[in-house]
Amino acid sequence: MTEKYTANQLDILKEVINIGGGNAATSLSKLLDKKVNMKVPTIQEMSYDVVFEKIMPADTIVKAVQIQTSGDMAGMFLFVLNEFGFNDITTELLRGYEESQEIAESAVCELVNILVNNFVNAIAKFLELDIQTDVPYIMEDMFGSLLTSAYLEEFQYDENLWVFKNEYWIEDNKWESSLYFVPQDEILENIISKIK
Amino acid sequence: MQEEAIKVGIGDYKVANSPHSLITVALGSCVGIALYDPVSKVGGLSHIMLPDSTAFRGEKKVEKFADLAIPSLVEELLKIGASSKLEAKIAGGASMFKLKNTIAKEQIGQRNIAAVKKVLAEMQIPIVGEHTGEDYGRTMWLDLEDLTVRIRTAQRQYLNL
Repeated sequence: MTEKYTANQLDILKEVINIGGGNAATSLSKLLDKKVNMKVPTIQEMSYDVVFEKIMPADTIVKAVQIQTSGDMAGMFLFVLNEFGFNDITTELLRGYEESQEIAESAVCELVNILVNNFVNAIAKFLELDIQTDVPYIMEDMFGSLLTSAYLEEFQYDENLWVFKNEYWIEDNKWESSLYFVPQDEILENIISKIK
Repeated sequence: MQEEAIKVGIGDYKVANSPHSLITVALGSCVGIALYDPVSKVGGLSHIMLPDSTAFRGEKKVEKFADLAIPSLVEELLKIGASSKLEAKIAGGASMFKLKNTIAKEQIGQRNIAAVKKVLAEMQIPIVGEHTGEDYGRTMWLDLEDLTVRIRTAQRQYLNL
């Protein structure tokens, strides 16, 4: 199971995510008129136990925006924010506007929509892939319930999961936010084969 | 509950006896199965992820699949002093996401619930409490002292089964 990808293939995937994530960061930066930084993306195989130990405890209540993709990169994007990050971002987005939970949620939804679409478009252009994105949905639930269900709904049944994760900062504030991509089975192999 | 509950991980199960309690967090599409003998108060809590192991080849983790985990848990309970008159309370099996091109009954949560019910029916174990389906996560405790199952939903609502 640990031999699913070679070091070289992982480098390629990392580069692809870097391109997508970088484009997304640029679009955010323009939208917010602030400097947005992105950490070097994580591509790692972990067991669920390790994910909940190292990334976030399973019972942490988070806000998550789900966007399904289809075509050459079928799967699900999941943008995860803890409550602190959610408040941070909505304050940033709604400066000067009256704040309600509903408006805050829809602003974050739209932000993630822009982020993911920029991510996907950059990859699609780079690799000449055909990728469609669906409408975003925002929800609030336990990190563990969302993450396990996302992998299981996309037919990822292994003991370990491949975590594709990007983290963003606005200026000096690290948002407590991460973007996960849960690929459908075989999709990554297809993407890797296109690069060779 | 005075003492720390024994933690059951995702895709795992554990057994214990009164006055201990067991907990499993963050059930989404997964199903939690509390199984106990009401007389001896010996019981176990299982957190299954998938309905059916027969669709998979190669090495399988027993605790992950409804069809393997439940019989294996029952066997372990009998070994540590449970009678064969067991009862079950189940929770979870949510459909967490709005998925395009997937009809509701094909979602993994619904398939997990159906599989758990089928296995319990085959083993003639009655389900005496249930809180399943919907679209939110749940945390589940089994208190072996008073045999209640406590559910906390992601919206921080509590209920007892």
